[in-house]
This record gives sequence, C-alpha cells and structure tokens, in this order.
Amino acid sequence: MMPTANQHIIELRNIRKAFGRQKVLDGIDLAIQTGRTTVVIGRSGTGKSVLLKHMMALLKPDAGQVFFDGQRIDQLSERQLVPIRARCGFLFQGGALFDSMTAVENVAFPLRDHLLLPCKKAESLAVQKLELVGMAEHAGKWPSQLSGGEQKRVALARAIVLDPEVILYDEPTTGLDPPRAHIICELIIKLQQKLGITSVVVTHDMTAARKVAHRIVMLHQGRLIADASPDQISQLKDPNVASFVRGLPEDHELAGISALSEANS
Amino acid sequence: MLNIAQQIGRVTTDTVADLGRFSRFAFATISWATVGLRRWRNWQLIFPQFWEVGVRSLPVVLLTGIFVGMVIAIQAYGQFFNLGLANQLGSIINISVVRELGPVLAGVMLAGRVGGSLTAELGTMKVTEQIEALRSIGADPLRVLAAPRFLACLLMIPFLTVYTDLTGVFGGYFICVKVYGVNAADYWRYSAQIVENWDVFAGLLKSFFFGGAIGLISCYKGFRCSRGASGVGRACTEGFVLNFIAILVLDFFLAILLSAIYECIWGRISLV
Repeated sequence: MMPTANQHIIELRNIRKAFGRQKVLDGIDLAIQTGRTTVVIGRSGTGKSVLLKHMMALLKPDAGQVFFDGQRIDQLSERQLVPIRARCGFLFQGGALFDSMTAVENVAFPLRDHLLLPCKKAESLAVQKLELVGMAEHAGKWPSQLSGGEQKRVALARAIVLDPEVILYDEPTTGLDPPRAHIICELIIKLQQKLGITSVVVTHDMTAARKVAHRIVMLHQGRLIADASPDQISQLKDPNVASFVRGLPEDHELAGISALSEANS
Repeated sequence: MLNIAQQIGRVTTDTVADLGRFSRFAFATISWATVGLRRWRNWQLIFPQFWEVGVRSLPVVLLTGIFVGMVIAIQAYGQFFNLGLANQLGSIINISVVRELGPVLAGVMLAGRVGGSLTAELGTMKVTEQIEALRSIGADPLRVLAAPRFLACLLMIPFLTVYTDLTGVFGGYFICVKVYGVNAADYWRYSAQIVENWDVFAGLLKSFFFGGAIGLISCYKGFRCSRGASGVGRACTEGFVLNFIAILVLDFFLAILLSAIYECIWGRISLV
C-alpha cells in the first residue's frame, strides 16, 4: 500500500545500509509527519546523518524503500531526483558552503541554477533570506571570513532559498556556543510555525531537541529504540534512552576512568 | 600461496571495478560537456576555469618551453659540430620540440600544476560535503564541477602547447645562433625544410588528448577522494602518477597512429 501523501511526506520502510562490514542501519521504519518537527537523537557514530541522507536519496539503501510525498525515490536517477530535491532543503553539519563563492552567491546559487534567475534578481532574493537568518550584513563575505555559527546561518539561508516544503538539519547546533545554538533553534521553530515547513533534525544536543521537537526518535545500533514526544522521552525505561536523555554514561563506559583513578592513587 | 592468489584476485577486481567507475564518470562528464556548451549558464561556469587552467598556467609552460629548447641545443651542438652539421641544428631541435618534447613536457608540467590543483580542490569539496551540498540542491556535480574543468583542460592545453613550442624554438635559436654562433639564415632554412605543418598539427593533436586525460583523471580522483587531509593528499599523488602514465601511454599510441597516417599519405619520414 502506498503511504498517504498528506500525513507523511517522507516514509522509510525497512531501510538497511552497511559500509563494508559495518552495519549502520538495520531495518529502519520511520514516517515523517507533514508540517511537524521530528528530531532524531542518538550517540555519535550511530548513523543519524546516514539516515537523514537517505530521506533525500543522497545515499541509497542496500535494502528497503524510501518514499517522498507518496513517490518512491530510492531507485530514481540523479536527474529524476532534481524536482524532489528542489522541494527539500538540507543543512549540512559543517555548513558545506561553496568556498569559491561569497555568502550571497552561495544563497543565490540554487536560484540561478534551478530557476535560471538573472544574477541581480537572484542576489536580491538571497539577501532577503540572509536577512531572515540575521546575516544580511555579511552578504559579501567569503565562507573563510565567517565563524562556524555564521556559516551555519548562511547555509540555512541557502537551504530555505527555494522555499522548500521539508528541511533536513544535520547537527544544526553542534559546535556553537549556547546563545548561537539558541538562535538556530529559534530559526527552526519560526520556519516551522510561520511557513509550515516539515523539519527533520538530527542532533545529540538534548536541549535543542526538547526546544524544537514535536516528536523525538532515538537511533541505537542501527535500530530505532524510542519514539515519543519531548515530554515522554525522559520517562522511557529503556536504559540506552534513559542514559542518553539524562546525559549519563553507562557503568562500563566509566571503567577506563575508574582504572585511571585507581592507578593514580 | 593462497594469500598471494587472493591478493592478486583482489587487486584485479578492484582495478577492473575502478576502471568501470572511471569509464562511467568519463562518459557522464563528456556528455555534460557536450550538452553544456549549448547553454549560456554553463559558459558562466566554464570561463573562470579557462582563466584558471589557461592564463594562470602560462608562466609555467613558457619556462618549460624555453629550457627544453636550450637544453636540446646544448646537448646536440657537440655531436653536430663534430660531423660538420652545426648549421643544420635547427632541424633536429625544432622538430623535437614541436612534435614530441613540447607537447609531452607541457602535458607533464600541466598534470602537476593543473591536475594537482583540480584534484585538491575537488577532493577538499568532497570531504567538506560541498559536492553533496550541490546534489542536495539538485545541481549535478558533474555538470557544475567536472564538465567545465574537463572542457578547460581539453581546450586550453593545446593553446598552452603552442606557447611551449614557440618558446622552445626561441630557446634553441638563442643557444645555437647567439651563443654558439651558428648562421641564423641556415638555422631557419634547415628548420623550414624539415618541420612541416603536419608536425605542428601532430604535436597539438597529442596535447588535445593529454588535456582531456588530465581533466578527466584529475576530476575523477577529486570526486573519489577519501576522508581527511591524508585522503586529499593521497588523491593528489595518485592523480599525478596516473596523469603522467596516461600522457606517456597516449603519446606512444598516438606516435604509432600519426606516423602510420603520415606514411600512408606522404611516405617514410627522413631527417636527412
């Protein structure tokens, strides 16, 4: 049966992915609700970014199916994926700004490439998006002249410049100081509330996750082990979920430090 | 023994798989380059590459050419003088420069300068997810990145070879006529007798193939770069070595082909 287009804009069915012998995703079933913010949490290296990239077919699954608005996309060619990707924005972990272009050129690039807008018109629209993320005064700067937080905000402006229906955020607050992380969270909330954008946020920052999420799912050892609202997630009994949500390591993870303390004493 | 067989098998399958990937990459890049030339928006991506590959490589090829010409003159003068043929030096120097050494050495220098810079640039874009960012906004990285660079190498390297040839000829002239005192009129007369339009054409045709190979190999290595600074470094080294081998292998087969064509049309080549 095909997924219902209006309820779930993205649906992953039994997704499996391995890199060499390393199994990263092991049978993931996940449906992303339209117009809501879903947060994927999990420890570093559990495959959260890999999962996110499957939603836009930037990575293809070894097995399983990916649907976008009812259309199966995991078997499409790069050319066939262009109209799907024009409906999505992707905020990369490090920003991934094109370092041969200024901030405004980065944001204008999708407009010039997709909509074939003339340079001046594309750049004036790009400046509007930069204003939205509070970066208009840095429009002429090169990525190397921007701080990590500024790069992420410019990258966010680029991700929203084609007015996408879905934005995928890969670790949007990682590496930012708390006030800047707060700004990014506010932007995610504002975009969702004002424009009704569907958001999927991958993070291991629980403060950010609680702020922006309507729903939180947790990825652990290639499987989804939790699916709850931000209020409910803290009450789950699963030890892996509880340990992550409270920010407390498990006993065996502290064994090395305990051994070090004993050696010093 | 079994281990050795396993290793040979693994290396063979890896090489064949890599060759298959390269063929697909080359086909897709050439397709985009052919289609791309018809659209103005793609020319906006191509012109900066013409500047980067062509104009910025000019000093390197000018230096290469002049030193190649001067070195051949110095090496050949003694032998030709002893045979009483010093006034015929222009023929051997200029045909060597125009037909063989100019295109090959310009190709090698450009494999280092242009090829290394292309692989490093694209490799860095790969590891910083800029290539994936292009895909995420629906722009094919082969169209936006590989095709313009391939076209720039293909079309600019023959022009650069013309400059290598010119400075090579000048370098040979300077040493023979100005340093060793060979008669200038004889120098040019014997050169004109031996060096034909075909030789100039053959040299430039070779450089066209060298340019294409440098563009495709360097971009492919950049796109296939593995993570981290060491990944970029390894991709650059592999790219340069492959470019160098490709230039030598192409030169060999093109020499056979072009000599056969020449002989079919004009008969056997003779310098005396």
